[in-house]
Amino acid sequence: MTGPQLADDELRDQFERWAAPLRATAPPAVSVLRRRARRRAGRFAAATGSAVAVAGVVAALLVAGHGATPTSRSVLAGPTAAPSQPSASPSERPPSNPWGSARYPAPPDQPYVLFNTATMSAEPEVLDMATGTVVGPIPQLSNTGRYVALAADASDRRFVLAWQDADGTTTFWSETMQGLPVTGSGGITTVAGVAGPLPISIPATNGVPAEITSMAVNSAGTRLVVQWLPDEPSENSVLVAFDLTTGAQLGSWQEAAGSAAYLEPYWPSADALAIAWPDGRPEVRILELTGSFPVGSSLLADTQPDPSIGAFSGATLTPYDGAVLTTDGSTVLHVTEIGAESYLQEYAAATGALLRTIPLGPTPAVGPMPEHICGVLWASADGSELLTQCGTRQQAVVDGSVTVVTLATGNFYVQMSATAADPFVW
Amino acid sequence: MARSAADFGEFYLASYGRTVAVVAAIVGSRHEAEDIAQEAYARALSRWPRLRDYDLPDAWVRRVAVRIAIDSGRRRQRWQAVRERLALARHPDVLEPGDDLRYSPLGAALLDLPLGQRHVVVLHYLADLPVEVIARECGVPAGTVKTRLAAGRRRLEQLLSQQPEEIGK
Repeated sequence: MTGPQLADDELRDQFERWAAPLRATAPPAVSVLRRRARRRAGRFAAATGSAVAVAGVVAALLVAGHGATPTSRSVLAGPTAAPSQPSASPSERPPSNPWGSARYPAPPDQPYVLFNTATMSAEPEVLDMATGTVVGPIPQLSNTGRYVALAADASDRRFVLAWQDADGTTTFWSETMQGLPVTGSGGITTVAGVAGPLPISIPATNGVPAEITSMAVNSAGTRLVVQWLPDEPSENSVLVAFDLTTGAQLGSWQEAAGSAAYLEPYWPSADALAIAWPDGRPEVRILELTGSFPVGSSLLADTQPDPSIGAFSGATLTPYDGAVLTTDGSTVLHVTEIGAESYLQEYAAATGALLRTIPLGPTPAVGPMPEHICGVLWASADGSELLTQCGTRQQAVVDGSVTVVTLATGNFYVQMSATAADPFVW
Repeated sequence: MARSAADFGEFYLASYGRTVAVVAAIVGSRHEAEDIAQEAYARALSRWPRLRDYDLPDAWVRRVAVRIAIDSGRRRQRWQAVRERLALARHPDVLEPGDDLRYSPLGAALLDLPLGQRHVVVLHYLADLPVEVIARECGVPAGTVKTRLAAGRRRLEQLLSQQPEEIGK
């Protein structure tokens, strides 16, 4: 049964000979890696920011005392035939306390809900985070396409989803969370929503769909900015701003060569978007969407430094494992490690001054996979409530008080694309 | 920042080939191994300010790459559909001789091992790691590593003694 004896050294020699040409493989330029990192960072921002934001909304709704009548398992109403009008719905927020009622963690019988877009399933899902139960899918628009990106407005009630069909065209859809009836035991029965196509699309370039790295919706729900990488081998992203009501393109900008811009969740006004340049331009700049911009304008030339936001040396504003600028622009939040301990640091956005350092406890083992980050997953508008993650440990920080959060589904929701071969995990 | 970038470039150039070789031994495809290695280095680049202080940053990259490699097998089927959708006909994906490593006896024999055995055999014989380190990287007891290593080695020995065309049958 046994073959001829193979000495260990002989086997090692065979491996050496076999591997020699592979070890001589020339690596591609570092810029290729940067491009990959940016693409992943964009997906990370979309996945974590929006997903956890939904959790906040749902928890707030629960505290607001929505009643419950089991009706169906549909989650968001399917897309309607006719384009719907955008409807920013500040009145739908829980009265007088739009963010503050959402305490983390919610009691065990009160569910977190989020868009789970990181499953192997083709369909994005809404999950009950307390039990891990899939509440239901977000309807697919066809059998040949996928949702590829997601953005939420500041109220966390209005979502814009990007859909790419087989021909590479990207279209945009609006979803508005309108209510969340729950049963007395906390079980979710129906999440009503309104879905509709927006009159916005981005065509494929040479048959290749736009590689969306991030999207942002303003607080009024009237503007959509999409950042995407046009095609190989360009490394410079394109930003296009749309009027969400009419679909009109307000302008398009080309990122400067050698820089990497990230859309921030902070909009100083309905027509002003904050953008961070962590690669060598550590400042927040503002893009005013009013006026007329020729196609392909320079993003750098058309933006101005925001005087209300300082530059930070201790925390880099990147969406991946970096610092978070709150949506009201007041605070920068960052998880850092000092020795074997991890800490949440709060900086004043205006001055860069460190406001306080909150101990989060011993730094848990952080695995090699990207979901094992140490960072802020989500923060309320002023940063008084937030969720952090380090390794597989998630913690809620509410007004400086830290609580470990145990989510039934662990850290899956920050799982990102494992390889470029899997571009739709976001 | 410039020094940091230079540090990374040096590290990347020095270790890239080794990482590709380890991953290729697990996935059996040079193209896929390069893709996975680049993804691992992209992640390392994002975390370089922290990783640069590690004693062995290449160990971190190897662990990430191997995890991706193992995971990618599960996702491969899905990727096939994505490739079609992305109209890769623009860039015909024709396999070049030598790209598919199963055509070498050792490559074919490796792919005939169960993944758990292949993983430890590659780390031991190719990455030259001791059992204790492999146990940590794989998250299994050292005894399990030894068992898999012994079984994998036996199977390799058996396969390599066969005619190449018999391997994989």
